Amino acid sequence: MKNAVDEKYLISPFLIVPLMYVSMVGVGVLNFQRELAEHAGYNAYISVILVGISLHFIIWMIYKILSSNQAGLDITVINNACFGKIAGNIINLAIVLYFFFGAYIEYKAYIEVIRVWLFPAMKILPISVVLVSFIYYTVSGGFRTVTGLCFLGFLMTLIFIIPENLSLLPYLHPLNLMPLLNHSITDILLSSKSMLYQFLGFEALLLFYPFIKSPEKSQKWAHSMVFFVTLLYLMVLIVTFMYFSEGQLREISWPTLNMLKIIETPVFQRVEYLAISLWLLKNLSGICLSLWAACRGMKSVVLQIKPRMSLLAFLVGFLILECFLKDRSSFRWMAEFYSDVGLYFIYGYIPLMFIATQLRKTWNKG
Amino acid sequence: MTSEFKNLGELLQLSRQSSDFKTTVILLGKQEVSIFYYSTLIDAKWMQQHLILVLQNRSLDSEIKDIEDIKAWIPINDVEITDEITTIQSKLLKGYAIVQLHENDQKCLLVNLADNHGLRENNDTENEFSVVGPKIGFVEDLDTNIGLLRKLLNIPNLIIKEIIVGTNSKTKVAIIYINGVTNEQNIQTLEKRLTEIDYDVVFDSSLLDQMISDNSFTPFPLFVSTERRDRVVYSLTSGQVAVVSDGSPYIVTGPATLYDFFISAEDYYLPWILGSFFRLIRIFGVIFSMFASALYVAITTYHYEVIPKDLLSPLIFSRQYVPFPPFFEVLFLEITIEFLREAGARLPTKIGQTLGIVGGIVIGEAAVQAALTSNILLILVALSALASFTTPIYKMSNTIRFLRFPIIILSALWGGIGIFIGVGFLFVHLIRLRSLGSPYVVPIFPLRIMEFSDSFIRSSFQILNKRPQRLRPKSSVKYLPKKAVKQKNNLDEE
Amino acid sequence: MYRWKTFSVIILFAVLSACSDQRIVNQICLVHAISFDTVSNGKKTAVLISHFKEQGKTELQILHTVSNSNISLPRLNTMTNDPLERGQISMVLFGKTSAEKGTGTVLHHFLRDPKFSSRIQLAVADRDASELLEITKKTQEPFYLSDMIEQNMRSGNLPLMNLHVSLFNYYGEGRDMFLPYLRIEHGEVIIDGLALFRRDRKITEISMKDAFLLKMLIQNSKNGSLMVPLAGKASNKPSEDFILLRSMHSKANYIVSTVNPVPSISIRLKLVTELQNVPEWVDLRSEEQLTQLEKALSSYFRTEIEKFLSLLKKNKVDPVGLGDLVRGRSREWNAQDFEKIYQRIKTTVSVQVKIASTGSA
Repeated sequence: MKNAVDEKYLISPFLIVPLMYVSMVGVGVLNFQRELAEHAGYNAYISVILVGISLHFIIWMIYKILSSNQAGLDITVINNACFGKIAGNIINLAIVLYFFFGAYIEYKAYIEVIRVWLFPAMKILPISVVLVSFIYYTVSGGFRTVTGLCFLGFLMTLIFIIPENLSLLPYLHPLNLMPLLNHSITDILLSSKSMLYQFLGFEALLLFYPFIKSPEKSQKWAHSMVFFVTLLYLMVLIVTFMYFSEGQLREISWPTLNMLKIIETPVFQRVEYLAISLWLLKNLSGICLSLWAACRGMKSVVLQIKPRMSLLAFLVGFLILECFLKDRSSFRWMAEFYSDVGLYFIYGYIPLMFIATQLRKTWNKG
Repeated sequence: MTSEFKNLGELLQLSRQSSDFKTTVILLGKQEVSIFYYSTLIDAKWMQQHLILVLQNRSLDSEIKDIEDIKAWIPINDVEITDEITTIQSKLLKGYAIVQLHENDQKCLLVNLADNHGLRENNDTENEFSVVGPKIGFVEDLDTNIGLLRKLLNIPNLIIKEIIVGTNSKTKVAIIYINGVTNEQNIQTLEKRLTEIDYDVVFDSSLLDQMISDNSFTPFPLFVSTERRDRVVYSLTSGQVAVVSDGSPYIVTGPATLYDFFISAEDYYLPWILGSFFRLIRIFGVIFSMFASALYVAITTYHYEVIPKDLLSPLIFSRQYVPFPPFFEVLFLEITIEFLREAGARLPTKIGQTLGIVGGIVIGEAAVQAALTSNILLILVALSALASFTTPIYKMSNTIRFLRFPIIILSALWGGIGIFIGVGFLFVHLIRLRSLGSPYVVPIFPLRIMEFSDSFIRSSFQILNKRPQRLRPKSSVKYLPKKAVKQKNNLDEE
Repeated sequence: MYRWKTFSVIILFAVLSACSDQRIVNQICLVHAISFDTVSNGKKTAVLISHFKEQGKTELQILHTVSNSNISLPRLNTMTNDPLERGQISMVLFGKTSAEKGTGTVLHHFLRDPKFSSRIQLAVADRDASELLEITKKTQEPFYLSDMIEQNMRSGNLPLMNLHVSLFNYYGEGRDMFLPYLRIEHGEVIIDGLALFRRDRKITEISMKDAFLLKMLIQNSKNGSLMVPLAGKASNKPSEDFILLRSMHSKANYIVSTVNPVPSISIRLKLVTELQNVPEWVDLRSEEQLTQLEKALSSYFRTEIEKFLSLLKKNKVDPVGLGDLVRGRSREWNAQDFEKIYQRIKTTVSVQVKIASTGSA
């Protein structure tokens, strides 16, 4: 059994706010509207609400799982305790890989945005090297540094999301949302699945939980963050639906960025260029958080690799994937596979763990 | 501290090799007394009047039996009898004279005759000027400086600890703090770091500042060094530790945070609304100064789409005949400005002023005429240079001017993305920095909402009565604010 | 130390092979306006480009080419010394023929390409669009046409339009696109109303007066102004007298009362106006006369809007978005069915005019 984390590395419970925000608002917020509308049309906002509500239960379960252990340990230790050394380590490795690929997909999706919107002929390798060294610098600074970057990403993106939506007001057509409920339940559930994909990443909580000072105080922040992010997605989605007509939305790849094209400021005629650049910070902080979680997970897998070594290995993996994974279809396949795994992770694994830990608890008592 | 000399004789023998080491032998009654000293370190007139004349007069009517007698006769208070060779050596080099009764006596008398010549009289704050408030600054003498502090902090709790640093200079370095306010841990860390320094000559507090800093791979100063008395006293009362070395007009205070460098003493002398406004102006100036020219490079090289259409024609026109890409254009101008600043700092004041005019007006105008730069860029670069000088602490304004260059390079590589890569690196670097073990960007991260009251803004004194918690002071309340005077000035006093 | 060396080598390598997408602002050729015409031997694309020579003076130049594809910037690129860049386009003009043959492919291109701003202005010319570009050349202002249209939307009768609004109308079901209609008069370009489209084809055009009515129907018609003929006291002289009024505020309310089988919609309009010019005999101080005037104006607007709506129905175009209104009310709405019944839908109009200020009159 490991010792709990040293006092000086802990973060205050409030700082879970930027961490949750960054992990739940991915690069998907730039284009999730289209996928959602594919199934449920303009009723897709119901899916957002459904997923939001279900996540509250999941967060509650996560806190139950993690607090079942007095020492405040992370999920890897609980896995080992529940399933034994070997099976537990296999699950841990799977979790590590899950976070690694989550980070990579986030990264790749952002590079895609840059290529389409800013630099169509950009060479990927040089910027990857610089970004990867930035990630190394951040993650090697430890969890506090990662949290700091997340905080910056949180502030920077929040600053422009609200004014963006306000300045769209003259172009909104509330009538687009009518008629209410003209899609079937299956359509809405299908949309919910692609909505869940946007939220994926908050499971990092399973690993950074021991780093929170008095974690039980952070639960209310975690719940309010799920609520806030759901609200945020809902707002962006509804504004998008009111801004675009359905036929128009079907043709657009990045609706959120497309909405930015209407905003003009005295200094910048095209705000989306600023927004994409600003989004870099938010995006990198999400990647750093996932990679940190992966490194932390590696620590307790069989080999006991030093986190710094595994970080280096992950980053080299990034560059290698970057070199070999060039076609879009295999990336899309990877993203779909990731979102399927995420679905089972959230709605399968976590409830399972919840039941297992609760049983163990009563067992130990009795 | 050990000495390489076994006895006094050996020390004197080595010292005699210097031409300014003098030996005076005076006859007191029947006794021959030798006085050894460095003539360059002592006040000769003082010695004549208060040592030699006094001894000669007294010896007329009494006899010297012991060295203790001489000690009683001399009307100087800093007199000591010792046979410790190390003490003798160090005091001799500080301007003491050795009085030896008999030859080969190990016990001798040390008389302080040190002369303070070579110090400047003027103690105006020349480099950190303020319009309102006192203009008292420090000078190159430790005792004067500590005296200045004592005059303003009239409490016995002001503790001064002396440490000797420097293998060759043996400089006295003082750690200053207020007992019962400053956290002991900070004092201990500082003391430990100071005693661990191994360096030959300590020229200035700024050297110490770098040697005790937590991270040497950073362009940021991790301690505030200031020549203003009010600033140091304010830091001390809020729970910081100060360090000063003998011979330095700068006092170093810590643990510092980033925003400490953007505070001017004047903020507290002006009404808080104005003080806050000026602080915000300064912070805006820093942001502008770091990113203005990088933004120019990014926009003109990559993102022509974002140029507002009314600005398009002036911008393109001004760059029309410039043969270089914007990156080289900016680099050329930025380096010119740095030349000007560097030359101005090295030259005497009067020539420096002329240089400013030549540089600013003639070179700038000519560069635009010769189509080496565009005039819009000239304005931007000049403004950002100006903005960087609004930072009250000189070391920080240098850092800000330096940081511009990596950001310009990044923006030349990847446009807007590059700028934000720069911002990211900068921010992560700042988060990782520690000053005396406490975080450097404190009110922002870790977030301390309460401490915003005295960082980006300067709130009224009714709110500022608590010491900042980040310093973990032993007593947190500074003073009890009077309740705000409720004014009944509405509607003719009712 | 070794680690630092490898690190700096990696960074250096990254720096040396940096971004190749440089578009230095004075080494590109900015396109400010583009026009599309259909000519006998293909499709003609013309672009308005600028050369910034002296302070405040901009030399404009027009390049054109004829090819089979709709957007032939690569072909035009062979005519310039600097690469053509489309990121600062602010005006898209369709010629008469090309607007009538269909603008769909061009619109689709403008929707997909992230380079284009959503604030681009689109317009239809009454002849070859490249002729209009020729005329704007002499103004030496690269944004002349788009500024002209924008100015008329802010302080004139044109409803809010730009690339986004047009695409919204074009792709949206139950509504049709409309664009400003430009004409040449005495060698100058003037805006002469709106061109109405069915899907991507221009059907008809309406006058500036009708444009004001449309503006009232779809948004707040603030700042639009209109000459209203007044049945004078001496009623034997038919409408010699005019009132010039300026809209200060207006709001349209739509109530869909029945949906099936034929929808009926009642439109309630509120208009707050300022009188700018009235005939001499109208006494503005008299309450009675003002109420009478308000009544007269209300009935005038009602008949005009009814006329305007029947014009739309006759032409089977729907710039107001009546189809969309009905779609919001029924779950089984579909565009084809609605098109069939569009001409038969009932619309009742009621207008309430309020004179808020008699202003300078």
